[in-house]
Amino acid sequence: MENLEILKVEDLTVHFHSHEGVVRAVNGVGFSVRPGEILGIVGESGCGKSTVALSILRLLAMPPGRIVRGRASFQGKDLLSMTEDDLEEYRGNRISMIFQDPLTSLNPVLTVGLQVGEVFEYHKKLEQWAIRQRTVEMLKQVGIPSPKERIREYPHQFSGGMRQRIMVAMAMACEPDLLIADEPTTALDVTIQAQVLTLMRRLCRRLGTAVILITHDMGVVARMCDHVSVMYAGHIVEYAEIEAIFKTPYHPYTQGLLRCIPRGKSQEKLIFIEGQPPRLTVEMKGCAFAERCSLRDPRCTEESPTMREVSQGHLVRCFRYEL
Amino acid sequence: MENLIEVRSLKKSFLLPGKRKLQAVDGLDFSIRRGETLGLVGESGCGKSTTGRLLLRLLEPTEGSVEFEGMDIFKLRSGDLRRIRPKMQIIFQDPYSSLSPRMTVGKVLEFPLRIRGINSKERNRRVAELLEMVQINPTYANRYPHAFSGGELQRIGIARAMALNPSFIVCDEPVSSLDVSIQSQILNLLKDLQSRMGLTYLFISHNLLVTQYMSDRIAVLYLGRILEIAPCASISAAPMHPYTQILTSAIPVPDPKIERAKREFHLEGEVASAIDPPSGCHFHPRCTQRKEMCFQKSPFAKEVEKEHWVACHLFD
Repeated sequence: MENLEILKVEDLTVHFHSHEGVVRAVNGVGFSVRPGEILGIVGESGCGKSTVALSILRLLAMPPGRIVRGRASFQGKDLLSMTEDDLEEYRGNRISMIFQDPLTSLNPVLTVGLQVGEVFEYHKKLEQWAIRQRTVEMLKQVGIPSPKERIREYPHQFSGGMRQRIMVAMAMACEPDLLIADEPTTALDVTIQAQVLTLMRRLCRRLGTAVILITHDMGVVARMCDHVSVMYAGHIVEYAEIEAIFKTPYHPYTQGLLRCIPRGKSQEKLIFIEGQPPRLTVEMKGCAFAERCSLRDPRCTEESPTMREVSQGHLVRCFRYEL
Repeated sequence: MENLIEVRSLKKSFLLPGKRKLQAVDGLDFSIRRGETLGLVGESGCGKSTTGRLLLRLLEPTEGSVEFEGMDIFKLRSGDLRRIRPKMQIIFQDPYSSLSPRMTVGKVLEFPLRIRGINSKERNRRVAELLEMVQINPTYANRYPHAFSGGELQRIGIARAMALNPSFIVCDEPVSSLDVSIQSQILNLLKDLQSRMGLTYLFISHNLLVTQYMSDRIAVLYLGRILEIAPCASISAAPMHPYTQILTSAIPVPDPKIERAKREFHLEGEVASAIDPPSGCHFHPRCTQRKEMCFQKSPFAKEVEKEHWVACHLFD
């Protein structure tokens, strides 16, 4: 079972050095993804979910970022300790990434044909005619109309949804084993989001690509994922199968998060979580959520809980579930 | 119930370079009743915010009228307009950019009071009252916006809108830039203020779930036109316009059982441009149920059920 994982992240800890001190953005995060699986990482702004994504591929700006410790084993090789040259073999080839904002991720002064084609040139060392052919083929697969003509156009000539489709085309060009998608549809309108999500899911299922889908939207998680990790203040606080997390969330944060979401017209007041996430510049004592938790007891502010399996495949970081 | 706002044949176009015309709002007719929340939903560029601004006369229309308490606000002269301005307020989407970083929140809240010529003692009292109203410690009045979180700033934005005791507030995506655990607090506050002060809201949002929670009635906007307007319960349970149906099913809801069925979501095309909108019904290029007529003739709104209006040839 163990070596079935395509990616295994262990004890990932990332700090940022700012003028206000050390920001402990990611604190001992661990998870694994199996081939073909879609894992959701869900959390609110500043919880460290994007930092996790960037750290895996070492795309984090260093400084101010620093990977303090941890491993990210991809097919048994640690991405965090290998040389930059070795990493190039994986990045954009076996592992690819989609970012939130397609406009800032695409180069405005190069045609989209050149940008998608670059992937084939760099990783597959194809000849020009073959690159062109594969590029057109790829754009067709992601649903760009008349791709033969449009490869000569620039990013600004495409709509937001089309640009994100181009990003998907670039990411899937080498038929990667793992795709990291960081809020891929957050900037898009709902109908376009639905189209792009369907497209991503279809392509990944067909190619057997595993996905780490980073999002703040529990609805997107429900539509796309097989498993989900909930992040809060740099920690993973819960991990479960998709059904279980919505049906029986264990962690008070997950419970609160799910109950915050309005569902239809109602006179009832919405639940909200008091307070704000903790400042990450101070060393944390106890559970990261303790300050906002309505169920805390004295122990929660003194000791840090560890992840433990409460029911089959459902892990939670909370003292309430200790025996 | 009496109508607070009456909108008739409202149009707004913007001229672009090259003599091209962007038709942001393309003939709106609706009313907002005193004390209700009318939700306005639609995708980017459909004219939601332009509509909100027209209703406050922050923009001049190309055609049409907006009546506020029976007066056409576009015909009012500056003196009369100034008299009703305090009653019409707005809450913006981004609390970080809608509060001046160089003014303390006390100064921000005091500003409208000062313009109204209220003396300083009374102003201070009111500022404290406003902060308390939005559950912020009144002693924080001398702090600057950077010292507050996003949720707190949005509450200060609400306090500013409340400063002159308005009767009507345009809430333009008030929670879209906030995290879910914070947004519910703002929604509760807005509802609470409404019931205490008898406020009337135009609630603009691209998020249908949030709009459904907040609104008594919902209007669905597409390329500057209302395609469907109905009581919230009715439009949520049984959306009639093909676009509303698609919009409803496109929204991801936090329930894997419902969502699994939507994994193969199918909808053609994207929102067309308001610069050169499609002929006939604006939605026809994306509509799976389009008929010959939809290409040529733009449908009128019909009352299909009680208070449930749909502009679609399927209901002719």
